Amino acid sequence: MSRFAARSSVLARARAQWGLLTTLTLTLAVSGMAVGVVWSLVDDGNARALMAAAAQADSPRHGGAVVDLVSVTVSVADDAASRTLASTATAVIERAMGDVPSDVSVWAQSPIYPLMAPQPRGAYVLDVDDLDTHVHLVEGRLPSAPGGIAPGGAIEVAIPSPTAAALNLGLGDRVDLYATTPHQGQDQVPALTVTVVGVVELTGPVWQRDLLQGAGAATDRGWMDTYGPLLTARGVLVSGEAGPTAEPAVAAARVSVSANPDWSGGIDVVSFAQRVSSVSGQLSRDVGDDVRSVVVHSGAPQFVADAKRDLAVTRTVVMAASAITVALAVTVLALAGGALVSRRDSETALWRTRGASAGQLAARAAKEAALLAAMAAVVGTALAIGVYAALLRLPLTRQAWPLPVEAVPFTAAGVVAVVVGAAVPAVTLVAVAALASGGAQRRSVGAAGRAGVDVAVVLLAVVAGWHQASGGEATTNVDVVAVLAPVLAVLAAAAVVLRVMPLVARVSERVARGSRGVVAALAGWSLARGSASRGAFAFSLCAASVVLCLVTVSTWTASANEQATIAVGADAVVAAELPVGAGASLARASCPAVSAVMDQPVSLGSRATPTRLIGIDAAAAPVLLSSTVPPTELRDLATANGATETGLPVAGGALTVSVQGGFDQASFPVWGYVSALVDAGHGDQGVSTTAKVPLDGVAHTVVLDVPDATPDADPWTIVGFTVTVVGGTGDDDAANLDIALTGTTLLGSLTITPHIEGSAAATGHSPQPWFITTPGSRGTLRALAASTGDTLHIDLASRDDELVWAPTTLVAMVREQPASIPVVMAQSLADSLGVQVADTLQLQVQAVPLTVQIVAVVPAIPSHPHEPAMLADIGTVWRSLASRGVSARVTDAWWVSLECGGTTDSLAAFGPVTTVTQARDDATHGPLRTAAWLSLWIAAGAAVLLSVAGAAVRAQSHARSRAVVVARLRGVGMSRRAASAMELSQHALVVSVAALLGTVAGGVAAWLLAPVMMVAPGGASPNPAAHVVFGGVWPWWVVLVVVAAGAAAAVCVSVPSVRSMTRHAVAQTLRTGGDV
Amino acid sequence: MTAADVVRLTGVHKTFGSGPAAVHALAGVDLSAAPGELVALVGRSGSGKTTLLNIMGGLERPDAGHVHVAGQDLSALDEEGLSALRRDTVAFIFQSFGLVDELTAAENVGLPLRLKQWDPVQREHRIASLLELVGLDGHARHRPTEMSGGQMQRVAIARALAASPRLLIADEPTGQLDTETGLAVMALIRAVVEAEGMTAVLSTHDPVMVALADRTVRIQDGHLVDV
Repeated sequence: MSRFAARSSVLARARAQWGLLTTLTLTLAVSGMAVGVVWSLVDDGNARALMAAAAQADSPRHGGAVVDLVSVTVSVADDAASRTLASTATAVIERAMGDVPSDVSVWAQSPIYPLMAPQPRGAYVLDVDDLDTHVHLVEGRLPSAPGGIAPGGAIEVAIPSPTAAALNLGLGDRVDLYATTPHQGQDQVPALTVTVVGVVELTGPVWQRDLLQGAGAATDRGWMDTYGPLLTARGVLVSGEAGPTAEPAVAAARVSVSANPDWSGGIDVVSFAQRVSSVSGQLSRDVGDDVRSVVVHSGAPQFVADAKRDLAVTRTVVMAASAITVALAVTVLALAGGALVSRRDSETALWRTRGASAGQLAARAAKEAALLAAMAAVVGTALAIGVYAALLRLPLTRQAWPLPVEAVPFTAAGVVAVVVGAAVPAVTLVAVAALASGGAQRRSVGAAGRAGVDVAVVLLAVVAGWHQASGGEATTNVDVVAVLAPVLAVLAAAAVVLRVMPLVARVSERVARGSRGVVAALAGWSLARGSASRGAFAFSLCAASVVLCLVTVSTWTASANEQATIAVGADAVVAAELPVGAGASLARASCPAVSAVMDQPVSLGSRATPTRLIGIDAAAAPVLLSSTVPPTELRDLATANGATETGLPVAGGALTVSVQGGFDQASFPVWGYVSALVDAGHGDQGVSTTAKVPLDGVAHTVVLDVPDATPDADPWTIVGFTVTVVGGTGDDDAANLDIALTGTTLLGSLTITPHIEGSAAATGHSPQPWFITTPGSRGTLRALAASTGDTLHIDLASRDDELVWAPTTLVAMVREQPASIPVVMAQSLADSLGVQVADTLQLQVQAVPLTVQIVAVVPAIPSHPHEPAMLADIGTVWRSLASRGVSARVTDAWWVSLECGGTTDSLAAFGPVTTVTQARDDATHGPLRTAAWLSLWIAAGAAVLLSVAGAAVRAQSHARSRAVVVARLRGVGMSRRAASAMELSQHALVVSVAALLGTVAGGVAAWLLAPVMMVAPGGASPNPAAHVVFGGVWPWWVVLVVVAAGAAAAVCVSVPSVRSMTRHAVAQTLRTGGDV
Repeated sequence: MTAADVVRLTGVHKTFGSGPAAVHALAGVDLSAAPGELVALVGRSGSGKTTLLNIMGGLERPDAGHVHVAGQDLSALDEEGLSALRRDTVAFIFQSFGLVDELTAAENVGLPLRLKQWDPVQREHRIASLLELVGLDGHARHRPTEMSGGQMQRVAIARALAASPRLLIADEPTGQLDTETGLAVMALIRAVVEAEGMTAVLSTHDPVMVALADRTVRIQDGHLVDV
């Protein structure tokens, strides 16, 4: 084979086969494009996702300051190091920030200086930047800058009002701060003298950075009571305007540096987190051996770790979509390769008879493949870059990744080249195999497939699906099985379709036999007997892929919505600590269905895993949890509350309490105080306590401040009282207490029926019995309560010394508390405990043992779907705790229904609001998940395009093989139109039957696989479990329309080939044997 | 040449290619055949026999001249009209049989009837009688690949007769058959022409075939000689 002959044959062939070669090139290009785009999603998309997620975490809506604030607290022991501590720590933090714009705040604190006083006391000076933004001036002024040195050498300070009160300091007072604790008889020179120039209130959470966290005084810090901060002007402990080299006036022992980086511009958060992680070690090195402690707080490393786990899930989906695309591409390329080899059978045979060796022919095939691959790589790369850039500009993508599209992902070019380049050896291998077998290979492929390869693929898919369903640990690595499972599923679906095709063929043959005309009959016969079913695998694979991808998107979205819904808890959650009774205001801003919510860890036997107890107002629960927990499961939650519970209605305000008590053998002063336990509606609770009064036999009047109820809300209810007695009495003492409760806002009368130690020996006249308990009693204390009008009379009797010193609390409740609290338990917890409905358990809630009884088991508890948790009525829990002496308010957050109105904006005034809508948006279209659904879209789109390409290949290949038949049929009188209709019908029959069966098989694959592909944020299994969704984002009819559109396009693309074939001169075809 | 001629060609010219390389396949051919007449067309390879038959059957159009088949001027017919002509009036028997490999013998025979939208029951009866006529009633379900050359040509004959054409055109129908089989096929054609009363024009090299014809026409360099 001469070089000239080879070159001329290539050119001649290119002219003759341009259609097939063009289709082959475009198939390669589309395949490369799809994989290139998907790769870009993994590569550039990952970086964008992290940046966007970081920017989103930085936004106020997501409480960004908590996530990205980097705070460092460094303590040193040595004075030398302390002089430069602030500047050193600041420099390290600023290095860690790198080029990330950030606000750096430096607080420097002096050592704790002893104060001259009878008892050990100390105070410290704090140098705060932006002092005026963190305090509210009560009186005086803030320390003057610069230097803040008052006349006489004293440093000006402002002090918190609690500090002023505790140290009895006022404006103008001078305070000496000593270097060491003064000893009696020793003259001690003050290390520092300060002058009080202002009294302030410390405002905002920023004071968590303070040593005493803004309390102003601490008397429980070991041997020395501590007071402070004594606030100076900037520059006293931190080098200020004098320049960075100037040493501050006072040495710093503790420096707190916080930096709030601005992530909104898109930063490399991974590098940032790495730099932050190294801050601690860097500080230790830079400050030297005198470091006492370094504490670094930053959400960045954890954020990155969590994001990487989420991205691993996304990458897995993207890779799975990529694998599907590759499988589609290989299938269509095999179809095209087969068609090309078939087309060249006669030419190849001719070359071989002329002496060309198999090696020469294979080399020629490789050269041609390389030429096609080069062209396809160019086209594919351009397409990949263009499509990816277009994807980034989609509204949904821009919403998820609101970053500028500047850099072109050139990495896609390499990927496209690699993918397309892989076609060269593949085509060469096909050519060699075809040469070696003389065509037998192609026939044997189907036979081999029928012999068991398809069964093996189905088995593999089943195994992969089973493995996926069994779940696994969340990691930051791509799950290989999860990547392979979808592609195996669609391959198995297509393989099953091939098994079904003969059945369809039989039906079509039967129909053909009985039909009157020729067009449908010949199409059916061709499908049943001829090579018309060629390409059915590719078409069914494409259809199955479209269905699997789109159904997976819908299922993923639905599952993400479900998970977001249950993770938030209710339509909206207000996380702020609101005043007692805020439920009425929230209800006015939204819907009546509002509940205070308790969310606390509880101990459950010896379980190491913490368990959450979620308390919610049982009355509002059915509405609030309507989308997460069936109402029937919540029905018994409030059964312990009894039929009615009136308590003592009260509108709030000041109630007058007259307390009179005395002990028979009191040898020390005995004091007592009364607390009212207030049910503030919507499950919220409040406790109002009187001042201590001496129980000296004389009546003392004190005020009980009950928070004001909202004017148009239902009155609150006093559901109990606690009476605490503090003091010492003798052994076997007895006491009596009379408590009278009056007030203009009291809406009812106080009547308490005597009741002792839980026995139901009610003897009073109250319509509802009240119950007295003595929590904490060793059993030697007896209490007897009786009421007369508005007076509560309690008799106490004590054996031994139970009333000596230890405070004794008596609790009077409006009714007896249930023996067990009804709870709804998470399935996972019930399974791990081996319990079921009606079983009882012992919990430790705030160290108080409570008995709970399971009334229902549900898949997941709202707000804690992935944790062992249980749900109870918040009021029942609180009253049970109160009856055991722990009456503190348990409200941690508020859940609000938005069904009848209300928005994030209307609730924003109450504090940080999280809504289900926001959470759903984040879960479905959040930056970390965007690449997942984009890749599935791309895979579906590529499937449609490749099915069209496959149809074009098939049509061209088929036209050649059918030309003689059509000529013969035309010779017996078939019109050109009928011939075209016959060929198109046959093509449409194959495409539509394969697409239909592929759709069904893909639907089955999606039904089995899509739910097990779902993961919760962080990579855990979703809870509630995902269920396949054929509607949702992509309604089933849209999926069918997409498949039908692909099939229609596949039919349309065959029209030119068919028309060309039927237009060809019949006589010439019959003479030449069909080479059209 | 009479008005009742089933086929009549007048001054038919056909040239393939152009310029110096042009091949004048037919150069002013005049030919007619009466009803029930079997005309044998002989000549060397490349003499224009197939071209003449194709023009006669409407598979090709002449460059000049007129062709009338069953009273229809073929030059006045469009593609659909020519297809209708082949479906209703003319039938072909090809040297290579021209059967559709995917179909059985019966289905091949039934193709012209399907093209004419015959009732399925009547169609099956007609197919059975035709297969019986050509002696293949036991091979109805056989596909061409399962039959001998002679059997395939018999199927082709049966298919050609299916729609009761007025003109049967056979292009070397025995060209791929051995002598004995060719003779049998030729006898069959002779028999069905007589039985059905149709006109037949066939090309052949076989002297036996020529002997069975009512008239023999020789074509040489695009001209008819020895008419």
